Amino acid sequence: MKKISLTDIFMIDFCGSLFLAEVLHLALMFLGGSLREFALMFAGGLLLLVAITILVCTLWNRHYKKASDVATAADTGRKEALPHVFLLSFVALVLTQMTVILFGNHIHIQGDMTVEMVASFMHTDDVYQVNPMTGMAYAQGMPLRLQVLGLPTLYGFVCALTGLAPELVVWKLVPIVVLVFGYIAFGALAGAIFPEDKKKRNLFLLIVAILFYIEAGIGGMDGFGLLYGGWKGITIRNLILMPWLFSLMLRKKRLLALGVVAAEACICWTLYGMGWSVLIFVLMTAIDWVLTGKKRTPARRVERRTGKHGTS
Amino acid sequence: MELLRNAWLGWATYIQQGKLVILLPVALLLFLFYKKDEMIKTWTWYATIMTIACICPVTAAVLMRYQTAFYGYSHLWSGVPATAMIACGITFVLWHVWTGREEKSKTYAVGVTVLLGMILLLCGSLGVPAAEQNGTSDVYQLQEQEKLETAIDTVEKLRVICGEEAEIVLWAPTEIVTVARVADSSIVLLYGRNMWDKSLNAYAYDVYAPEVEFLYRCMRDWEQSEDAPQEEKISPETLVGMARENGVNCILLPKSMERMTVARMARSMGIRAQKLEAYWLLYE
Repeated sequence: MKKISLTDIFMIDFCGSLFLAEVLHLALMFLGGSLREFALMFAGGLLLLVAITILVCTLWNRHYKKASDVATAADTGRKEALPHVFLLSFVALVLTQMTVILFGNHIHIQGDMTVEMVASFMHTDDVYQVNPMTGMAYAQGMPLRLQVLGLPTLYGFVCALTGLAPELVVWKLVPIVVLVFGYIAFGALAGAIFPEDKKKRNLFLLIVAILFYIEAGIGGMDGFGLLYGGWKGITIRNLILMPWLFSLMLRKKRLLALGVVAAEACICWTLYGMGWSVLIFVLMTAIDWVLTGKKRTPARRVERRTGKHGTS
Repeated sequence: MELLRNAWLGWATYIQQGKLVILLPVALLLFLFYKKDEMIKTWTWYATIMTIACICPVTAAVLMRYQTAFYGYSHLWSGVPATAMIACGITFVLWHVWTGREEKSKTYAVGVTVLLGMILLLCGSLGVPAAEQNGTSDVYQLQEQEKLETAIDTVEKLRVICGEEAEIVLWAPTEIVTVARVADSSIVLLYGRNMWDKSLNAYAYDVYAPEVEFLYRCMRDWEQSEDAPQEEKISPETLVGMARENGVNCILLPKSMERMTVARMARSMGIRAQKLEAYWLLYE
């Protein structure tokens, strides 16, 4: 039985909020209603979700602690400064990145109309009643595959609950949240790669933070998305969902990995719900099966010849 | 064929802005042949397969079809854990050179660290990427928030002049059109950003009437020079008539325009032009 880590709890709640927003968005789209009323439902649902997740995971981990007698790696008993140096440097870099997002002079809105969509939703108190680009009624409509994505509605909920302007929520607040959860996801990945070594985990996170700055000038890379387009579905997928998914696959938590697959379908245009996370899930499962299958083969041969398990 | 062409050009274009992704195969080779870590074996093989698939044009084209035509070549790399893998590789290299070393060989460790830092800086691209039109669907042009905020201020002042409850159907220069519905979603526009940012047309099936496209070209000509519309010799009064037929009741014109043209347009609307920041405002 596997313990559910604190980072997993955060990520479960993050994905849960995406699902909740998606469900409410679809209800608003097909059944109609007031976006502001649905925002209140979202707030209530989110609080309930967080409370349930914490309760379930706490009980699960308590049960895991009682059932498990496996000793964890022992501390040396000596407090080392190095992990803290890496951590402090990492935190300093993260704070500068927050400053860039909040006060920087550049933004990537090409090919993106999220703010216009959210502003239109707030104005009409509904979704997709007018063309966000012009404010006129749609003449021929928009693709259903885009209409069903719930991210702009989620931002509309945040605007309705906080009273903040759409451009402030979308261009400033959401990228900060994405940055925080992005590092939580990379932290989960670091935990999966270096489960026993805190120094390496902190060093890994520090290097990731440095790489984000270096990638900032390369269109399409993670750093560019984080600093100039943190509200977009693809940025959330690349910075939060993908690292967490890789960490789940490394830790063989495939049930939670399926949750990531569903989360991606809520925020990105996919091929009938199949996005990158499906490909990652299938391919990594297949590779894992092949690699573990190679290990099993010699033992199976021995079993078949001797008819016995283990040594003859 | 278009897809295959984009896939063929994609890799070369992708590494034009920065060579950082070249470090990914280096990290993969490290994990495949030197530092064989059981923990991340599956992940390494996955990243290797996907990296090769993204670089080879045929497999890249297949993946581009899978991710749908909504996305460009650079989005293929979403499926490759480039940042994490490069970070992992650097972590292992730094750990290897720094741990278990005696004092005298710290110089070696410092040297390798500095060299790695220089390689990262040279492979990456700190700061704002240059705007490029590179023949594929991937264009990463950044907007300056200062300019957007100035335009938002202008729109807010426009709302004050016209009245809080007034219905505004606006024909304006591109910088105003870019932010008008961001600043005030009750403003209706003759055309939106998708008039010049064609990637936004994926969001709706609606198309603009030829008249509206012509009015956009006229405004673009006025923004770029002081002359009358370059295409056809159409009088300012006729242009105002065309705009009004499309519901426009508010026009913002660049201040650099010929005053005579502005005056004629205002006269045809039965009003006088007023100054609003860097524009002439014509509002009925």
